[in-house]
Amino acid sequence: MNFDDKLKAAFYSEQPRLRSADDLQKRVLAQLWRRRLQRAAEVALSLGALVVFGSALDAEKITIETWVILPFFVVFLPVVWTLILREPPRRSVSPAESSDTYARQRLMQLRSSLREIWIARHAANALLVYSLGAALLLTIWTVPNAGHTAITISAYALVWFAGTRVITRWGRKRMYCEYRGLYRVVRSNERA
Amino acid sequence: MHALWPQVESYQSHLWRAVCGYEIHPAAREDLLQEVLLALWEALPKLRDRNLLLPFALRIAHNLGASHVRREVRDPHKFSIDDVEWSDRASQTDSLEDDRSQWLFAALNRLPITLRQPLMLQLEGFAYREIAEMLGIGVDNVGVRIHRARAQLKSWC
Repeated sequence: MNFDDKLKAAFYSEQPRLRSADDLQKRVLAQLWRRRLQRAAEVALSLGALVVFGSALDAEKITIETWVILPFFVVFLPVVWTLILREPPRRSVSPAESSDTYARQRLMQLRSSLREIWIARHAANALLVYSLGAALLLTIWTVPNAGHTAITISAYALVWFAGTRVITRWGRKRMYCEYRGLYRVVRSNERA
Repeated sequence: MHALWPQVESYQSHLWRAVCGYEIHPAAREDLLQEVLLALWEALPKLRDRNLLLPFALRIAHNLGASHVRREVRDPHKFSIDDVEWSDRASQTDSLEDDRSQWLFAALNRLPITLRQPLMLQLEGFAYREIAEMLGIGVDNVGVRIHRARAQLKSWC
């Protein structure tokens, strides 16, 4: 038995647990539904946050509370829109393309996703600094009612900061790994 | 259900082997296979020539495999290629076949993707021209890569 025969024998001896077409279809549809539910939850959470912050701005007259919340809202809104409400472009890259085309398209997409993660992390940092700074200043100046608003905003900013860190940390590591792998494929194809 | 979906059932072994070339951990292999099946389900309407279902499905599997970040990278565990020996002296038994298979896929997982993909597609029985089309590279380059991949595997024996 030569090396090639051994390779083939070893390669073909790997067999999966075979499933019927109906079973495969059920599993695929279940996964599709899980994705849709996850997406719906993301959108619902984002819209909920918009309503919470938006209702704070929906006052008859502009008070100091409005001015405390406004910068937060102005940053939060575009970030949420960019990262969540706008459909991430993952689906636009078809894995049915040739490997070279797929790798190039996916690299562009990963660059864009990594940029979005960078925006999300920096926006969370900026909002935390802003809200803590506002809370500190309003507490020092003892502005009536505004101190409470600033502390509430700080709590939201802290939660958002922690959430962003946890979610993006894993995603960013994974994306960098994928990016490096696909980059090597593209570079190797270019050299050939 | 797409008209070609029932045919996917008969290609499970091919898809599974492709997935095994990108992931060592059994549970993660199942997850990757599931991802491949979902992508295939979504992409099937784009397939024009129904005779090309197998290369179409394998292209999806290898592309998603290349994008896949291995469990051992995400969550390092202790599996090593040195755990399995390629021995000719042992008798031909199922466990020997299993060991060889385990060794081969562990070795494939260590190969660079650019060498791994053409070798796996050749082992699946595709011609150099078909592999070149699937990977988007030249036919000569396919030969070079397969030669290098085999040499690398031999050096690990």
